[in-house]
Amino acid sequence: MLTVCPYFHVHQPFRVKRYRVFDIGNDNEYFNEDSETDLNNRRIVEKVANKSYRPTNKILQELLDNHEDFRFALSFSGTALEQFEKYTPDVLESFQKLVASGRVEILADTYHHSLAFFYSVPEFERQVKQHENKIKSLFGVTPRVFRNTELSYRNDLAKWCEDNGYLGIMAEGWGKYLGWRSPNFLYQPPACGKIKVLLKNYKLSDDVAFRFGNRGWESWPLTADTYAGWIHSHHGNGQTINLFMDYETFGEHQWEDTGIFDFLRSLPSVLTQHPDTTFKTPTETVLSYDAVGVIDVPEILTWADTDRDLTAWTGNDIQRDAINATYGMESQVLQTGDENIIETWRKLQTSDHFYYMCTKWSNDGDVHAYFSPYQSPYDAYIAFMNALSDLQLRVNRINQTLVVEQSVTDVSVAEVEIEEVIREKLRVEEESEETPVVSWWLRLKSSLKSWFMKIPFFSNSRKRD
Amino acid sequence: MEEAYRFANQAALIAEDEDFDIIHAHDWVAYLAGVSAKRVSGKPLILHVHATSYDQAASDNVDPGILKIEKECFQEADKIVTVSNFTKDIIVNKHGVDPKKVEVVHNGCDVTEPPRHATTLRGLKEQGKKIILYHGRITIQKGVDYFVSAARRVVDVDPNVVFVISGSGDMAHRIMHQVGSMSLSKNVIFAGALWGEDRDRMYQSADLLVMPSVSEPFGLVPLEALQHGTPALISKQSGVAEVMIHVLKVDFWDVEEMANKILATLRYPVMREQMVQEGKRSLFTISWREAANKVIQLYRNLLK
Repeated sequence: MLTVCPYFHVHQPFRVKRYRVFDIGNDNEYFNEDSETDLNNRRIVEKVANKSYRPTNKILQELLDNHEDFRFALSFSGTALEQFEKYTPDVLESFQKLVASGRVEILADTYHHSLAFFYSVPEFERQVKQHENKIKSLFGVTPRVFRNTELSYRNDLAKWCEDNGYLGIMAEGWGKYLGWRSPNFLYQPPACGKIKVLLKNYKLSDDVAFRFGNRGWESWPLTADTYAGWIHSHHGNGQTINLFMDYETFGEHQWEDTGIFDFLRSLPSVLTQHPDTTFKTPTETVLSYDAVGVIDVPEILTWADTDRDLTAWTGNDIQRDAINATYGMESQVLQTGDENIIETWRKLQTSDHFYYMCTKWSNDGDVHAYFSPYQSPYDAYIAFMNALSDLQLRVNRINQTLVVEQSVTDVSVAEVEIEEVIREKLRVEEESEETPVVSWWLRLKSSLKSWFMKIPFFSNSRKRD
Repeated sequence: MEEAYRFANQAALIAEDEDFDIIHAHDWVAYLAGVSAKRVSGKPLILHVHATSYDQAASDNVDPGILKIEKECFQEADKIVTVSNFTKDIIVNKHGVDPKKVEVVHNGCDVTEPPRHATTLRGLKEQGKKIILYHGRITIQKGVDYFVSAARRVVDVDPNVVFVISGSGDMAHRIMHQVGSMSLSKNVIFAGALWGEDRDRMYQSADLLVMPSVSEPFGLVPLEALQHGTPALISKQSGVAEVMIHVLKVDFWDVEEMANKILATLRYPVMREQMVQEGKRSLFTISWREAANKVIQLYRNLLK
């Protein structure tokens, strides 16, 4: 028995528009580019819907209707789902219909396609929860197998998943950690008792995802028969063939003229012609097989580039600066309690923003250039940092107000209107001690002096005196 | 113009006497000489284009005499080398040259580490002023007027920025007038034409070099600035933009974006440092050796 476990990842980020230094403090919208460029999120989603989501879902639906064995998994970023709701509701409906078949599993993920686990576990947990709620409300299911952004993985992430009740987690089947062993079995992370790791067969996955349309490739043009033969050759030395790839492989990364749709359409029937070959979802896979050994991944492993690490996101100084600045704002952002601010901050955590700043211009670099809507990594960094500066400004403004409100309530000066204190606070900035001020303010000030001195604003204005 | 014809006469005489395999002529002053040497000797001719009449004039008022020489000589050449795709596009579109005849050989740059000098404009630096440098001729081709317009936009946001214009040229008077009319006298310094150590000192003192050229066949200035540890903002209408990744690029006419990028460079020091570090490393890939190898290959192919 050999089972095939296909899994397609659906993601669209909210790209930051060309946000200029002059916009800081004047424009609170970062994702609403309306020009005819690739920074226009609506335009991109509509384009990819036409090239990929609509035709591919149509084929997947036909396959589900015609092959009762066919099953697969999808993962969605919340940022993609939001954009489908907003720009292409028919695409969302077609996904809902696929899932309603009961043979399409949805995986757990971070809502914002972020790298939060490696920067702030509490923030990561909030995003996973947000994702779970979104999936529940749109599809009526609760994911049981976890996949993290860019298939990033580490021992402690697996442990977290086990502690939080997930049955399985996905990772790249990379030789550095597998050694001589095969990715076509399930493994167990160290220090875990129940959770199993599903490893991507990157050779077979990337034959479709990266090489399918490459005319210089020795196996071009790849037919479903040849490909099924490669999979069947694992009978007897494997249990599950895990084919993990971007959903957009179909029609967007590999265009229609490569023949990718015909390939997808014919693969299930060709595969199941072999009597002992069928499909399983990740949960079914995990429940069907035992782990054959322990896989120890102490460092971050991803499915990206030839390095299989995070260097495409955090490999250079501007990337690290941007990502550290973003996560460095966490406590201040949360302190605002402002839903819009918090959600905007999270949308800025989407890993794509940092990917666009990548300067690894080797063979991999070409891929980055292709996937970036910006003309240069520096343009990406400038737009992002300007937007983040504006967000920081908004956060500061709200938190300053909150501090004043807090000190006033603490000493129970009930008769003093909060708004008036704030207004006065702003006026004092311009005035010196000698300027005549209303007497109630002096009385209030002396009574509140110790409180106000804790606020940086007031200690500063005193220094100026 | 007369000079060019005199060269042509001399070249014909030399070509009659000397033994050689290939004629390689650089810039329009030598094109006619190359052509007459070819006529006399029948040897293959390469014309090497470092600039065209369209660059000098920034597309208006192209000198008809030079344009005529360019067009006629390009027709006679066996191969034409341009220093960038940018220039190749010009001679294909404006001079009607067959693109198959044109080979692009990007210029290289010197990668020896220059000596560090004491900073210039120390008084300004001590006051915490930021220095944005323009270095080059002050002519219509160089886009200095766009630089000044961007300066106005920058100073509106950050009055702590000083713009240094180093160079001279037939547009200097007009630029001074523009500075005055835009009330920028406090923020713009005319340094005159700087050379040698004075120029290097200025490169090293600047926080950013701007090359706002309207039309620049290659443009070595940003590479020189990088060698001195200063990042660059360059116009997309330049050949060097094709080979440089770690610089900021902008359309010369997009004053708003030019100002945005100047301000961003000052706001985000991490970016500035990375552009210098990675940019300096990338200079090694733009070496004269590589340019020379391409030219040698071209010679070999012509002699086959």
